[in-house]
Amino acid sequence: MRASHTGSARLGPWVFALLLTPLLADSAAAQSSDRVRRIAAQSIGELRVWDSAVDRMDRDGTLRLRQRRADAMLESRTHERFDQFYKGVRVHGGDIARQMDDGLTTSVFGGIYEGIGLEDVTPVLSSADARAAIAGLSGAELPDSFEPELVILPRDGGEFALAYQGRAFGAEGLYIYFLDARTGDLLLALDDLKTQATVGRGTGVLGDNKKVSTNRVASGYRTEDELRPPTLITFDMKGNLARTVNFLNGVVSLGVADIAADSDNTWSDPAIVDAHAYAGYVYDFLYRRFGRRGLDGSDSRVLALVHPVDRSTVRSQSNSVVGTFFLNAFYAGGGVMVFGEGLPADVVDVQRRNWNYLSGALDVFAHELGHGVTDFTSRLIYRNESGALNEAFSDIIGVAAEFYHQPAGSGALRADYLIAEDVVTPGGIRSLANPQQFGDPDHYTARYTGTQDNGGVHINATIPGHAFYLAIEGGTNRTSGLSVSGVGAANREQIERVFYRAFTEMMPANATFAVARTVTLQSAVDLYGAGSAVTRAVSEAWTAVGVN
Amino acid sequence: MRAPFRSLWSGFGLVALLLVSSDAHAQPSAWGDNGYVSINALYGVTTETNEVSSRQDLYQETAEITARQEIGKRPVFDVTAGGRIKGRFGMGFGVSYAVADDQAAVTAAIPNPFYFDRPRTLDGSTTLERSDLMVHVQAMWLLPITDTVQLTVFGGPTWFQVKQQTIESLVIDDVFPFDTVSLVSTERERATVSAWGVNGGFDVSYFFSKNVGVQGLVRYSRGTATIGATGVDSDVTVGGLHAGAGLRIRY
Repeated sequence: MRASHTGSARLGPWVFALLLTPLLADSAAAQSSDRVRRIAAQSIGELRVWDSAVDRMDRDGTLRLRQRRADAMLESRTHERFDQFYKGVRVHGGDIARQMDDGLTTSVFGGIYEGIGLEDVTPVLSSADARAAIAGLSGAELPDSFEPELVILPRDGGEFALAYQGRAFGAEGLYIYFLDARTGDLLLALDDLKTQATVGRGTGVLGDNKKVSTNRVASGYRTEDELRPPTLITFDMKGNLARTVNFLNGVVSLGVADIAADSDNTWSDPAIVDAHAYAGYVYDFLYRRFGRRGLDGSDSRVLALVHPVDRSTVRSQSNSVVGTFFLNAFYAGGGVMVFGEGLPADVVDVQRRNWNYLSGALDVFAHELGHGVTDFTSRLIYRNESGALNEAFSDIIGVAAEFYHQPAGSGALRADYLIAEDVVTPGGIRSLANPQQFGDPDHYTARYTGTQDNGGVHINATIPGHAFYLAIEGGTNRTSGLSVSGVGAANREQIERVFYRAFTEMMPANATFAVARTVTLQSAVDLYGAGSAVTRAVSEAWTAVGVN
Repeated sequence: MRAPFRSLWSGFGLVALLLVSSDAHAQPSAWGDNGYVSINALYGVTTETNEVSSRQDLYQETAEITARQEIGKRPVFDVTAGGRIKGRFGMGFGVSYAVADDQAAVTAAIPNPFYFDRPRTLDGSTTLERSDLMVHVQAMWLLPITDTVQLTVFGGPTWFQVKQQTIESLVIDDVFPFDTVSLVSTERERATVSAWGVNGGFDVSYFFSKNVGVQGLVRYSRGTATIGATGVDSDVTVGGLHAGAGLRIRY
């Protein structure tokens, strides 16, 4: 349903919106879908309106500043992110990103929900009741410190519900549960595993030598990076799935004994070596390419967990465990990443692919850390198009990190546009250059519209990912037949910066592909100018993949 | 290295015999009754650029370190003694000693802590002590110019003993993102090596009494010594042109 936002019933208490409605009714700056008002203010008139509106909402508590950061690429720019609140309760997915240049607003993007209309936001269930309910749903043992957040949940039918939101790792995986705060009914369960892949197995080590930044202790050496600013620790879970799950649920804490250790600092476990080295590689990439200091921009910790299961037990494990802890890598929030064990050498997946340790691929590692960056920036909702953008950004970071650290080419330890090709052999699991190679869409008209995969977050990620590829390399989209003049491989940094800046500083949480097009173009114009080859390449690329 | 010395010494003996046999008019008094001793204060007037390399294991790679030092312009203490063999020909021995703390320019390729084969360049300086002990064996030919002034020309082999401080390791300052590195200090060790070379020169002496005089001395010596520091051999030039004056006593 495409509801007009001109009706006063949808504006509810937002008097400011009522006043602005005539101005914005036909404007590209404000699009209405269900009850979310999408904002993409870039012209002077739109900016004037939305800048004052944001200030007003900030004053009256409708918006609350979540983050203010200096732009790492443009010295004079700052970025603010606001969460939407309704009667003091955060609205899930409602947020606005405002860019300022020396105090003057230069862009406002966002999505805010209208017509919430809940009279009473007092929950019937207590926080403890909600915790117990989530524990029951997930099958997880949750600590007393686990405190679900009271939120307003926009429903698919355009209604709103007062809900408790909590994240738990259970037998079925990592989910965000939304419980009705009055009845305790489950309203929504979002799969929050930002999975990298699901089917395959590995055959061992790639054989390359790496340096491992470690910490010397009395008993030997531990995988604690003491040379880079953030805490980078690699834990060896020693195949103990129960302990891994209990840690992810906050039931147990990992201690010194869980940190990977070696007696002589010559490390022989390839999964540990790659996990620890790549944590540093990706940190270095983000820092040197974008000026970003870690996941949150302030050197927050990164904890890598390897060997979450015993590889030899794969035949006795459930499909869920195999899919999560053997054939997968995922970002579990809070800087924690888990890298699957792969498969024994004599086991292949249904596509007859081998799976190595998931930590052995730089793009996989960077992909997962990309989810961490998203968690600290746009918080793209992991569902439908915003979820696909979430995955696409991680793919882009994965590919960009490869090209930063590895020579271009094909084969092991070479940079390309394939995802996970170093550990899922042959071929990897996705291609940004040719999404159809893996049956993924390369054009908006071919997008997946079903409910599986959280609305196709992995499947449809290749549409913006392919746009990223075309903007760099140029070429012709196989579906539309439209050609793109890319900036060329030698200038890939320009496109990387455009996408990174757009996704981390300006992208709203519930962005659609169309919003992503607008935001990346704004980023390109900001960085390189409206008439630049970069801006033209980005525009052509989105058009070629059918996003206008 | 004893065999080359014997060969060289034999050569000088042959030259001496030839000189003695051809000098029927030598004046023994110029040598004194037995010989002479001179004590000289010399100064190195030339410099040699020496580079001593060393290695240091760092960040799972090897740092290549080079200390570049200008050696030469420094005081040299010298004692020489000689005696007549026949006619104007004589043999003598000289011992020279020089020591100095000289500034050394330090350059190094310091490995990156995170990545192989991405060294960073370090430039710094340190002070390295260097002492040279030179033992000169000299065949001498003495020519009286007047009753009080005489010229001595000499040449022969020199044995050098060099004590050179080398850089054992660097104490560096490098922090993330590890693009640059600076030198904090150096850990040093002392290498002692010896080598054979040659010397040649002359002195002009003036006697203001029968046995005591003053002299001016010019001596050039040269050799090459191999200094091994942390497993790396470096050839350094030893000796140089030394000039000065001293007291000469005949006895």
